[in-house]
Amino acid sequence: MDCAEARRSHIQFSTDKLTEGKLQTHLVPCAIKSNGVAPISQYFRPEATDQVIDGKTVLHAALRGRELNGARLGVPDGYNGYVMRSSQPASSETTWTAESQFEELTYWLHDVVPTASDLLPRALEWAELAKEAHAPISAADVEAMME
Amino acid sequence: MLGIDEAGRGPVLGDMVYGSAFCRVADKEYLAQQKYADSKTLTEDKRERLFELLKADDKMGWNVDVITPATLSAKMLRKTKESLNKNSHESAAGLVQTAIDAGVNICEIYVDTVGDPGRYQEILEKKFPGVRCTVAPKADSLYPIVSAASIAAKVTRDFNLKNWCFKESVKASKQFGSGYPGDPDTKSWLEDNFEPHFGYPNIVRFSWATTKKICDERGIDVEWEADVEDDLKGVATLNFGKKRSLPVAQTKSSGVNRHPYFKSRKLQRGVDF
Repeated sequence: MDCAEARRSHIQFSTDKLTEGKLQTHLVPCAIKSNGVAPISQYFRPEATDQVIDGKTVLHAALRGRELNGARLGVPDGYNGYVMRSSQPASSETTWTAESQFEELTYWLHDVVPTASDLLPRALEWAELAKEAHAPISAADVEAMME
Repeated sequence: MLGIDEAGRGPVLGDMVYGSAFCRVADKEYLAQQKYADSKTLTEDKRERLFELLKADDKMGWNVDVITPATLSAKMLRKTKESLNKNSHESAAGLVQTAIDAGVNICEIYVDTVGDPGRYQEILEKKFPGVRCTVAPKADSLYPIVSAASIAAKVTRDFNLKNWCFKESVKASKQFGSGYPGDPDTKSWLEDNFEPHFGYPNIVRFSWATTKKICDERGIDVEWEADVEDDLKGVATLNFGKKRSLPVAQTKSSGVNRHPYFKSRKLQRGVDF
């Protein structure tokens, strides 16, 4: 998309719209073509297995008969997890509003077991590295490095 | 000798149970005098009484392998789908192995066929060399040892279905009927207990055509990455050799110059939401 044509979007973090408490969030390997409330805690029942891979307990669940293996991932230090909803007003502006918060998400894989080399845990590694990469460098630091 | 038969292969819900029964070849006459018959020809009451007799009989041994609907669905809906026949053959072989491991000396195996009898026989003979295998259609009515196995399997399946304990916290009735898709009770249970997101609790076999049809018609559309990947394979081949268009604006850092660190993590800069 060309820069000039880019839609404008706002992100709104008004805390008064946030629901109380932290959510249980799941990332499933499928697209569920629905955006509403679902009886998740009734039907989706993750169970911890005895298996531990890369320091994480493997979880087990089923969704529409498919076998899923999952692992819990914490939101990186210094970050917050938000569930956002987009408003689609008549204008071309989109407003994203934070609806609820989460500290941890469980990501699920179909057939395979979760490992530390999965995309999601690796992508979150960037959060830690970004802190270092974007940390301000003082003149004293540079001088110290030169010597 | 050992007989194998299955119960609950066709139903859309509940366990599939494989049963085995065994006795000494010398007790063939004795076995014939017992009233074991194809479980389908017996009433529920009669089956249960015969199963009690089988359990109490010192001359006879038995075993069952219960394959839950969750296991069955999971295996049949894997990225590399595992057929029902394969599951059946493995279960049967497992029962023979369990008996051997328990110290039973098996010379003859009688099995009611699933799929092509020749192929099935070949699988068993390869796995258990030196054992005489008889794989035949209608074995459950032809060989009393298979009849006994069919009773063990059928009673176990029915007992589990009757006493089904839902893992999900749903208020579903237990008026399942026989579980066959054509059974009016099963039909109305499927009708009444559908949930648009999840479909059904795990008593239902999601890999059955009946379930798929209901999910497609009444459920929310769910698209699996595993299925999409299969579809994309064709597209990738079609696009092969197509000239890549030049990168226009750098609103997204998806271009060729993206650092491998980000590429390998599928991370890209985003400006638009």
